[in-house]
Amino acid sequence: MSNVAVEKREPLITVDGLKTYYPIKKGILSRTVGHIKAVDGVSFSIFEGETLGLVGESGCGKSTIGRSIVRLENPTEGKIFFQGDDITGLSNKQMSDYRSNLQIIFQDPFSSLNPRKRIKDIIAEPLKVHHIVPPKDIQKRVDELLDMVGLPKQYKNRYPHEFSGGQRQRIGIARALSLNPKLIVCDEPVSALDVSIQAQVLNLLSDLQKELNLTYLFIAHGLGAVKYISDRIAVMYLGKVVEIAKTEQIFKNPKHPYSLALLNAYPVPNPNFRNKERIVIQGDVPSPANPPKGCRFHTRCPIAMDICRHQVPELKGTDHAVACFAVN
Amino acid sequence: MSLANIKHEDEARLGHVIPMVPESTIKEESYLQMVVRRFKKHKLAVIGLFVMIVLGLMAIFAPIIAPYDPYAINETFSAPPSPLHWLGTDQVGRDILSRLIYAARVSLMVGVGAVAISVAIGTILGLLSGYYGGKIDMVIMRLTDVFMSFPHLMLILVVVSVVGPSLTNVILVMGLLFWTGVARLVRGSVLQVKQLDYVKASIVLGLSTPRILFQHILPNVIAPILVNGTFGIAAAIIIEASLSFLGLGVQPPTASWGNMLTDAQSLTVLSSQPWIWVPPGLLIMLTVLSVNFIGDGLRDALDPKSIK
Amino acid sequence: MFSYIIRRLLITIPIIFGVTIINFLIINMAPGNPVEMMIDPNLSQEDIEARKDALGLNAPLYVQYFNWLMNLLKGDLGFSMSTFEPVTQIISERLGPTILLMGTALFIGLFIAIPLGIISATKQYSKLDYFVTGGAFMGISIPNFFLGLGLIYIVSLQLNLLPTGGMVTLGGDNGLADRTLHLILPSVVLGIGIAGKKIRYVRSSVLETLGQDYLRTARAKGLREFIVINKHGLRNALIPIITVIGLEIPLLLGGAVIIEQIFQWPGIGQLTISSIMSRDYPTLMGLNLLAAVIVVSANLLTDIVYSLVDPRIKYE
Repeated sequence: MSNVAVEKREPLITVDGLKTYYPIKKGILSRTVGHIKAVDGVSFSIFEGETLGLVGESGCGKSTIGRSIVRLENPTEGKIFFQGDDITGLSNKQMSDYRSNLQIIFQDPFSSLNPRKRIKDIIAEPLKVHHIVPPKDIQKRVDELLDMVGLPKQYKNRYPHEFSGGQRQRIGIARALSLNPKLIVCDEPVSALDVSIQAQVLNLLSDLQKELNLTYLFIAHGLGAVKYISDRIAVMYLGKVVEIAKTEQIFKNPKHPYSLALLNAYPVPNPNFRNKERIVIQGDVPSPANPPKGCRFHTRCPIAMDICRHQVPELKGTDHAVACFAVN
Repeated sequence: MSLANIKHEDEARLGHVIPMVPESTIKEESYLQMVVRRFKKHKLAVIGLFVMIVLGLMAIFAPIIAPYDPYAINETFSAPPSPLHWLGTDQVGRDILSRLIYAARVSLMVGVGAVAISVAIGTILGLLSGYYGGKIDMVIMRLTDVFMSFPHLMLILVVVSVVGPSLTNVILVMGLLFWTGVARLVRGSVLQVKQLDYVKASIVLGLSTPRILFQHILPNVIAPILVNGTFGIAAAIIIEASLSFLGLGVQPPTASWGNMLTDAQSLTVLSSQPWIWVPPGLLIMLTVLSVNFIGDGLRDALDPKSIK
Repeated sequence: MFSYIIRRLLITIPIIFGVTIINFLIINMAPGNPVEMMIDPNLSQEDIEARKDALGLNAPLYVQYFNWLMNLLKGDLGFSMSTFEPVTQIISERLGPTILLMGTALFIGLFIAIPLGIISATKQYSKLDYFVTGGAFMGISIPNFFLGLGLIYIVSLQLNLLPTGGMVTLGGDNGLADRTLHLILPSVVLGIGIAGKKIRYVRSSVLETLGQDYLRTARAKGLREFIVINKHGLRNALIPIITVIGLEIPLLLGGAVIIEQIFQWPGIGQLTISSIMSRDYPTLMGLNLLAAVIVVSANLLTDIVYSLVDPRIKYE
């Protein structure tokens, strides 16, 4: 793997201090009585050709980050840079110049394709609208895209309901690829699929990455899927990144107690290598409307100290950044 | 074991192209075929459709089918049915059968015209309301609340009396007042559909808002609009008949099933000349019943939950 | 719950406001000026001119609307153009008969719909079910004026059982029996329309309830079918039906216009038609406004009752 070379390049996308709050409305006049702090101050960069895995329990805000990058959500605070350009405050019109560079693949392959359109129309539509290829070449390009994702072109006249989940996910990938994007947000693209199909789709994604020099933000709720595809992994807990490092560092030497807990939850096939002292964290994730003071994780952390209850730990370190008082 | 090795092993084992199920087994009926098949199961709806087709043909070919000119006055007034005039003549001596046939044009025109206008308005307002939400939604929904606060027939009566009764005015007034139900329905469906990932994908793909609304959202909310529109046709036909009956709709000498019943407000006609008022009344009932059956059949056929 | 009711009340205010605006705009479409209609027509020409000046008739439309609204709030709807009486007085005289007619019709409608709907649901897909459902379709498809004429023809003219119209027999004793006989036909006609709509509603509500797990549990406990349906099923199925009665008010009001005309019932429906015929716009506007206020109040009441009865109601 060429991680060293990757780090020297300019970041393709940079998320800086991103906060996304949703108002909680109550009472007679629908006053805002509080906020769900889905994402609460997250910063990271993804370099060209790299895959950043973003891992965390459901509700930790990982999908919100992905959706903010492709502008399905408007951040409350913070900035998102694409190749150095601030794309946060852009109007929809200004944003259209960047749309084709930033695409997304969704989790649910059954709701991500319009059930009333044929496959060829689903893939051809962005080509037409953005004038990617001249009109006479559109069908040829559709065939090429289907071929790239491993679907025979004979099936392009069919409707989405005639395909399996894995095949639909491939169609979703072809649709995202139609605009020749630089970055693809993969929002749990395999979690809704059978285990056997998961590997196929992951392989397809990594082949396409090599072939087209794509950059991925790969979102997953467990470490299993991201292990094979990610160059680096960011671990999130309750709207904050708690640890970010190269994949092998996270797996070999997890520093944050939450990363360690996640790793322990990940089943080890070989019984001889099973960690004797498993950390099993207790309790539920606290509500993001009212997150704990200090370190978000202190309520469930086995090694919480006094300082953790009062101060928020910052993400420190360059190659292997951790937000934990016990480490720093 | 490096990442690259794992990938290559997997690829070799699983193959890059997944084997597809043979064409014959995967081939499913299209959406339309399924709707037609399920509609056919609703016997009354099929009968209703047949009746409406016959009535439609009758309206189109009225000049050929009708035995007399509907405006021509014959020598006999209020004549009972006879071989010459199968359904008799009315109080001015016009052939009732011919007038019934021509009046089918009025009823169908009113039903289709009023519903076309109201569905167009309701669909656009509902799409905007559901898709944009916020202030636009608030304004449109309060507007529907206001329009829904008037009893339909009452409001139409008052407006028609102000703008003057005529076929065109009846259609326009109904079209401009009936959109509220469709708007609410479309808004509700849009709110559901807009949460689906394929709409979000369309946004990320940079498709324009009109394109998303009309090509991606509208085709997926068309089923409830169709059902509602069908019941709307039935309602419009009844209201036109009621208005014309009261003398506030289609004006004589143009024949409408409703205004053919007007004379029955006199007890003499009601008691001793039933051939004047019973046939148009039965035809209104038959038409409305057929349209209602079609609507019921469509609802069963289009509703994914009602699988029989 | 309290907060929901308050919010629901607050939403009603802009609706009432909108209703008055629409009403005012319709008046403006009519020949003549709405404020002119407010003036007592018994005044002399000079006095009218003086009052026009005083009322600012040349003021922009929104000022005129405001003036009209202020009068409205004082309960002043102007004067009838045909009888020169205050509109509020004319309408209030006619309100009683209409309420009597609508109330009786509603009672008859539910009296038909609830038992038939329940039987239809408990014997789903039986011949009886098809018969009842078909009957319900007839009920909503038959124009009420045709049904009314048909009943007058058969019951009054052919069989001579009931009077053809009016509230009392002219020159009669005006007794309760006489009034009741006059009430039967018009309220049955209106009630059948209600029943047609409600049968389907009752049927599907009962069917939905009968499919619930707690009914299966009741059967599994060995309870007799009669008890299962009547004690466990119907109570839950009928509550929503009772609470949405208010939604039938617009249908009843619209129907009353036609039925009162056919049966010469001296209520606000007949007043509506006669006002239209005599182009009495002030009365017409008063009637339209009253109808809207009744519908809004009925909706409000329905929502509140529903929220009290069904604990699942959201605060949205």
